[in-house]
Amino acid sequence: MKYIPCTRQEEKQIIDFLGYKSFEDFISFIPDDLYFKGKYNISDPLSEIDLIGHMKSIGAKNNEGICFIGGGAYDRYVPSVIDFIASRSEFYTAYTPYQAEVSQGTLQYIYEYQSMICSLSGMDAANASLYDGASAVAEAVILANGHNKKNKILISPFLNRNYLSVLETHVKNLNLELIELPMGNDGTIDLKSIKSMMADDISSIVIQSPNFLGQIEDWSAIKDKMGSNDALFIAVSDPLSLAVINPPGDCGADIYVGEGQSLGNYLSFGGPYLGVMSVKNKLIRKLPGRIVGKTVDVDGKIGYTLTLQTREQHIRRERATSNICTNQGLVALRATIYMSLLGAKGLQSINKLSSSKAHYMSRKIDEIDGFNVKYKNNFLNEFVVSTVHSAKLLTEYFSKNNYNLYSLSDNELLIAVTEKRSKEQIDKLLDLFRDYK
Amino acid sequence: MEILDNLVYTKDHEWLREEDGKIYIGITDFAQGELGDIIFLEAHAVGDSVEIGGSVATIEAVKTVADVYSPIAGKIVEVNALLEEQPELINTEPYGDGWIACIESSTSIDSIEKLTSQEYLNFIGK
Repeated sequence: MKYIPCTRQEEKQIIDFLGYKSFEDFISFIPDDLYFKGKYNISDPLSEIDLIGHMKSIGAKNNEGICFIGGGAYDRYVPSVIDFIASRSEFYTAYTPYQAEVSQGTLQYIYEYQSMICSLSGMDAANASLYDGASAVAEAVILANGHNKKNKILISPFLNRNYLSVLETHVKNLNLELIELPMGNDGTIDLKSIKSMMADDISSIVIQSPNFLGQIEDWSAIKDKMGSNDALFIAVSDPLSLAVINPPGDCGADIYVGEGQSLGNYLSFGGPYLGVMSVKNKLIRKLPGRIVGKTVDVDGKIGYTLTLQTREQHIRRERATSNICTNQGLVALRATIYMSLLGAKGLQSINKLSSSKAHYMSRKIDEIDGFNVKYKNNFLNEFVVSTVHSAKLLTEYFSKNNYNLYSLSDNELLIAVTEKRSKEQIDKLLDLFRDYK
Repeated sequence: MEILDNLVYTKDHEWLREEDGKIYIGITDFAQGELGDIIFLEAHAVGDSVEIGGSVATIEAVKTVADVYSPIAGKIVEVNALLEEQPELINTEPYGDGWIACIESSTSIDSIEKLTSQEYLNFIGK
């Protein structure tokens, strides 16, 4: 689909027709004090050669470094065929297609995307995606409140901090109360506490696995401890990890949400990312966002279309439980290509590769004086290292040596290892650990 | 389009019928025709109380959504379970198997603001 702006001449025709003198006249209802009257801090026009030179000089200031940072966004390998297919003009739009008659290709890939997300998460229905993992968590919590009208939410203390912060913003004026579950001593939640914290006014329980510390939670055991009540179980996870851990749908979760950046998308300085969401059938009419359905036309031929739109704000208005009437089309397209190219086996291999590299590195770090892997076995590709040194000074030292690491607290690092990290890179980083004074 | 003489009506296009001290509520033939094909009904739970003008159910048609409002305060004592699987009954039998909910109220149907069948026909301009 192409975006065609109107020409100066067309703009004049519109303004004339409406009976205004100019565009400025048309928008003159905007109070004068709201106009920006200063000068924009933008230079004069540059020639193409000068502009490219200018941008390159800015770009050269980036220190890319070798990335061992995770915490929700991962430096994974993006096969070049993804850039190729996703940039084809037939696909290249961020917009959700309203017109089924001109958007069959786009609608079909979204349908395939939803099917693959359902298959990974063990759920019945997925939407066409949301903005990012954080807003998907917020939408899940609001969905649960719309479903059971209860207003207390039990939150894992190891939910990604950014998700928590976005969630707090979303629920601030909704009369919902977030309650943090107690920590266990192994980097996962305290399972024993769940039973006593469940009550009639609990709307949902939000558990991320692998959690923010990289540790795998036992979703099935959590579901057991929840007992039978109206509370919905919201499982949060990187969809890539679902290729090797038990799908949340099979563990008794009612809603699955996650950040889909790992699936064929670059880090891109933090976005745009991909909010992944799927639910059990009983919740399908509360599922926010776009849903693409498969149907047949009058001739009995297969066709794809946006479906169940009566849930959405443009039809249901103030009664809608979500404000979202869009999706993250282009990012979801890349995820679709990634998942189809790799297949179930490929997705498992990526996990195995990252995991074995992460475990190799963690074993080696644990042997180094002054460093200690905090939770040793129960992780996929991300783990916590406690140290006697200052984590902040450590990250500065690594950065000077072209390695990017993340300090979780004053004396802890959170390290993520993806399939993209070579043994040489890991070994050199281990040497840096050993040499640190 | 059919408007039955033995029912009373509201300006929100509901019909009401009193039976054994309970009030059955549905939407009129005119209303179902305006909504078009009805694909889903989301009713409040049995036992929920409802105020005058409060919603007892939400009807989803293909391209729109409408609330069913109660003209009387009371408690929802029954919702039509048939509609779970066959919401289209609201289209085909709006006064019969397409009824929506049943409300128990301490107020009599006589005391609420309502229209006769003729007043309703005038109201919708037929």
